[in-house]
Formats: sequence, C-alpha cells, structure tokens
Amino acid sequence: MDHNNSNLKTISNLLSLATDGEINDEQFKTLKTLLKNKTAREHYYSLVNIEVLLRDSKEVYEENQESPITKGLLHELAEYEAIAPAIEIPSEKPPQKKKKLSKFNTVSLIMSTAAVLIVVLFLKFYSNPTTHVDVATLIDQINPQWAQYNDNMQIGNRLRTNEGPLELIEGVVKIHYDDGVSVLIEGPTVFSIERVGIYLEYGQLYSRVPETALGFTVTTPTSQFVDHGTEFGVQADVNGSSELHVLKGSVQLFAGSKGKARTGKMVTEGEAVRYDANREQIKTIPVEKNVFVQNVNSKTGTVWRGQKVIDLADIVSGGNGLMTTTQQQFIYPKSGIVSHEFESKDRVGDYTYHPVDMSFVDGVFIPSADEGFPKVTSAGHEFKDCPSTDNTGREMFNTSYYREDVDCYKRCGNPIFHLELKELKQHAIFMHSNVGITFDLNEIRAAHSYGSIKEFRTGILFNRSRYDRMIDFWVLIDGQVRYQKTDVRGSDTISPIQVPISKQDQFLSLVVTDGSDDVSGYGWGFFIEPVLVLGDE
Amino acid sequence: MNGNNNHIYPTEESKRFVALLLPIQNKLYAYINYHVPSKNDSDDILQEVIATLLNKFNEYREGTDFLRWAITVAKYKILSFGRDNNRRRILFNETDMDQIQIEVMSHVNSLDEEKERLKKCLKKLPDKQKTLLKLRYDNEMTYRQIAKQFNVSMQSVYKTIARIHETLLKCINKSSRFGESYGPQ
Repeated sequence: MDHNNSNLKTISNLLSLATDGEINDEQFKTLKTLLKNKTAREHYYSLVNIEVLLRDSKEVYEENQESPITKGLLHELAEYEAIAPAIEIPSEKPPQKKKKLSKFNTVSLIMSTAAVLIVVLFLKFYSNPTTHVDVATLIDQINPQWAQYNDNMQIGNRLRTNEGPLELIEGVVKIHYDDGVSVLIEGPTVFSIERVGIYLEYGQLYSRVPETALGFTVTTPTSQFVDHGTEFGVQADVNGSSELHVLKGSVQLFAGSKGKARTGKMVTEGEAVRYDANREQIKTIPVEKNVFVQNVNSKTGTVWRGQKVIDLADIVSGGNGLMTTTQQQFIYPKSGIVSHEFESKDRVGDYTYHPVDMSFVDGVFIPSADEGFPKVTSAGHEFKDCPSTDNTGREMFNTSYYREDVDCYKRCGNPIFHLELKELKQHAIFMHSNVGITFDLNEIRAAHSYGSIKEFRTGILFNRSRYDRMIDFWVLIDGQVRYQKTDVRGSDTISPIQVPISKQDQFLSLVVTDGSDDVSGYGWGFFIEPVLVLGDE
Repeated sequence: MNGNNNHIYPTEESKRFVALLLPIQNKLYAYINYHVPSKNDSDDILQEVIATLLNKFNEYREGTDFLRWAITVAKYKILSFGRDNNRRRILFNETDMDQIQIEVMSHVNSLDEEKERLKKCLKKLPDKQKTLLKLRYDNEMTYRQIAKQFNVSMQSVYKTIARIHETLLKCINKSSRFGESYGPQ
C-alpha cells in the first residue's frame, strides 16, 4: 500500500512538472511506466480533471479578491522547502521551437477561417455561462461605433464578466470599475471585462488605477500587465505583439505564451517596452505620453490624450483648447459677432461688454475709461485700471490660420507684418489695440476636468515693423490686473508672462490698449502660445 | 502603433458551432490533456481540433453526438502530434489509446458532475490556499514564476499545490458518496 501511495504521489509530482513543460525525458518515461497500472491511471485522470476544472472556476477566485499574500501562505510554502525530498528539476529550458500554427498566431487562424477568431473569443468567455458578475459601468463614450452584436451599449450600462467580447470599431469609451479603476478604450479594439482586470484581444487602452485597486491586470494573448499603482497604456496587435507605456507608478510585465516559461520585466514611470510575439523578445522603446486617450467628456466633445495645457488661441478659433479647430474665424469686439469671413467693420466701441456665442469665451469689449470703468465679464467685474483710449478696436483671430487671400493682410501691405504672421503660425492670438477678450474659466474647468488650472502662460510681442509705436498689454482675473506691461515697443523681444490661477478665479481677460504715445492705428499685438497650464486633478 | 482593421463578426454557422462546442469544451480539453499532459501542448492541439471541426462543420449531422465526433478528431490530432514529436510528449500510443478508451470516456463524462462538487469544495478551502490557486489558475502563473515571486523553490510550490489537489480530490470523492456535508477538514 505504501508503495502504491508513493507511486500516486510520484504521478502527482510528475504531472505537475509535465503541465508546465518542466519534465525531462527520463521523468516522462517514468510517468508512462507508472501509468501502465490501471489504478494509477484512474488517479491520474482524476488529477487531470482537477487541473482542467480549476482553470475553469474563476468565480471562486473572484469571490476571494480580498485575500492578500500572507505570511501564513509563505510559511506553508517554506515548510515544503524544508522537508521536501529532492527531485530533479530541470533548469529553465530555452523556448520551444515556434510551431507553424501556434496558439497565438491569430493571423493564420483568420486566414484559415474568418469565424475562428470570434469562436475562440466566445469560448474563452462562455466557459462559465452561468457566472456573471457586475464589476464596471460604461460612463462615457464619444462617437462610438460598436459591432452589431454589441449595439445595445449605452452610457450607464453595467458591464459584467463572462459576457463575451466587446468590439469597439471606432470612437472612445470610458469604463469605470467598482473598485475605482478607470479604463479608456479607443477603437478599433476587441476586449472583455474581467473581475480584476480586462482582456485585450487587440487594440489600445489606458488604465488609471488607484492605490486601493492594486493588482488590476491587463491581459493580451501573449502578455499580462499587473498594476502596482499606476497609469499606463497598452496596445496589442492582432499578431500578438504588444506595447506597454507607463506614465505613472510601475507595472509588472509577464510576456510569452501561456504555459511556457514567461519573460518578466518591471516597467516603471517614464518607460515603455514592446513585446515582439514572433521573436519572443522584450525591447525598450520611447514612451508615448500623448498618444493614449486618458479621458473623455461627451458633453463637451473633449478627448484628452494627456496634454498639460489648454490652448486659448485654439479656443479663439472655435476649438476646445486641445488643438481641435480646423478653421479660421474672426471675433469682432464691437459687437461680439463671430465670422468666418473678414469684413471691414465700424470699429468704434459703444462702452458695452458683448457676450460671444462660443464655447469657453465669455465676451469681448473695446476698453475705454471715458464713460466709467468698463465691464469686462458677464458677471459685471470692472476693469478699474483701464486707461483712456480712442475707443476703437478691431477683429481678433488665431494666427495659426493666416490667410494670404484675406484682404486685411493685403491692404496692410507690410512685409514684416506678413512675415510675423507666417512665423507665428502656431498658437498666437492677434489683438490690435484697443480690444479685450474674456475667457470663462469655470466653463473650461468643466470641460477639462482631468486637471486643475494652475496658471496662465504666454509671451507678448508687439509687431516689429512699428518701431515708433507703443502698446500696453494687460492680463486680468475677474477684472483685477494680474499683469501689465506698458509701452511695449516693436523693438522689444517677446516677454514671457506667468499668472497663477486659483480655483476661485472665474474669468481671464486679455487686453491690449494704446500706449502712452496716444497714437492709434498699427497697434498689432500678439499673445503668443497663450495656454492655461494644468496640474493634477 | 497600428490598430487592427480586420473586423470579424460571428456568422450564424459559427454561432451554431459555438453553441455545440461550449457544453463539451472542457471534456474535449480533458480528453486531450489525459494523453498530452503539457498544458501548452494541449492548448495548441485544442486550437487545431477546433479549427478542423469548424472547417468540417458542414459534415456534421445535426442531432448526432457532437462530443464523440470532436473526440474522434482529437484522437487523430493527438497521434499526429505524437508522430511530429517522436512520441516524446504523448503518454499513450494508438493501441493503448484504444484499450483505455472506455475508462477515459468515463472520466470525461464525469467532469460536469465533478465541476459542481469542486465548486463547493473550493469554497471550503482556507483563504491562503485559495490565494495560491488564484495565482496559479486565475493569474496563470507557472510554478517557476510563483517560486520566484516568493523566493522559494519550484518544488515547494508544486508540492503545496499538489497537496491542495489531493485535498480537493478527497472532498469530491467523499461528497459523491455521502452528499454535501463533507469537505476539507
């Protein structure tokens, strides 16, 4: 009986080695010999059944999420370390030769039959058809196009484990797990929800994992990324290769086909790696900080890829501050009218603040103190330091879209002015004295809730062609002067400005007025790369 | 970074195929695994079997025993695998496979019942043992990886897990004889 028990234990040990591909030829022969006995075989089949069923019992592990790796567990392992008899363990073997049709060669599968890929995916997820656990919510999506079999996906839908693959053909969706993890997924992507993670068949996603949810795992056909308190992006190709970009914290990567000895690497903040499934190699690559979608807001149409600034010149052109605009437009300070066509309009102000029908822009005005302090916000804030001016002002625009066919520029006829506009093709607001524009900070905060506004930053420049002129630049917060530079000349270089902004500040106004030379006309001022700088949420 | 433009939707045929395959998938896998103990090899063979079954699905007669048909295909895939690997990775030759067919199918067919009993037995395990099983079967870590994580030998890892297997096996066998009240002590 002892001999039989000993054989059964040996079978158990050899099966364990064989399961992981760690058994050598001699041990395999031993196992074959032992299995000539019927009793031994019956025991062996039962052990294999246990293995097969344990891989299929995910709901039990899902219930057990809270158990940490305890000292008791380590002690249990260490006990065996002390008393286990020696058994030959082969040293780590080199990877097996790649088969013609490997498990993860999904391109071959697709070529052999188009339906196999989906069949494989459904098999993975329907292995426990009666076990579904609600773990997450679809909380936002922008321009989503889902596959036909997922076409009931709506904001607010609860997402469950074991409910089949989700195929996002295009667009961006945001999923929030009950434990606090948020995941941004950009199509084309096929994925499925897991209890403490997400399976990514192919496509790309970005995860933000709070410290209370460590261990969140992104799995691809050939890799596993285990979070250690992070923000990271994962991209998986159809051929099994994948990339990991870690923007905060660290992530443990396990790469390689399941069941084989896998390669591991800890990837930390600011690092990125690519796993090449064909060569089975991990390679360091440059980290991409602004490629993955990190947040979305369907109410404002904002898709944020980690940019740390909101561009006000983009907003002047009708964008949302994330370089989304594609058009030129002119804002007229006398009336608040926004037009795509340049028109020579009556420029004399009426001492009135004019709301503008645009996102993020509160209003515009022609500053003059001749009839009292001018109002510079819709809340009635007054510009008490406003100088006296000639009360004329002209259109404002984003110089990124300088157009040679626009009559103003031809009539100006000043080659240096044209050159400057061309040079300043990126991110400048052209403001000819005397004009002011006010941005609604609360509306900007609501649309860009992924960060808090910390400061306003820009460079000011007066058109170099007018050495005889002077203009004044002002930056106001709620009507109060936070920055002024008077009598800026064409000969001056760009002056950088940084104005801190607190959570209580509601409106930011940019103003250009005539200088103390009291000469109007040709007061061509530029706010260069005017941005609101974001800090962490 | 490139996204994938191969959008694949399930056809009616593949949905029918999946509906037939899902209930027997574990059994098919167990059959393969009895003969080919390496998980990775079994995974590969299962993929090939599924691909063949799908390719030949038009030959399947509705209402006949799908599992029997699948196992017929699996048997030949296993033998083919054995030939390709000089019989070094399969446990039984063709003659042996025929001789043990009845006992093999008996264990294959007991899988559904064992699954229900195993679920109950698993719930009775101490948390630390469940955690170890989670690492192995949910996180899909190899023995070697678990050993490295805890800085112990691979031997102590698989022997600990083998002990848990034995406990579960005893629980399953007892509950099949005496009902639900028995479980790991």
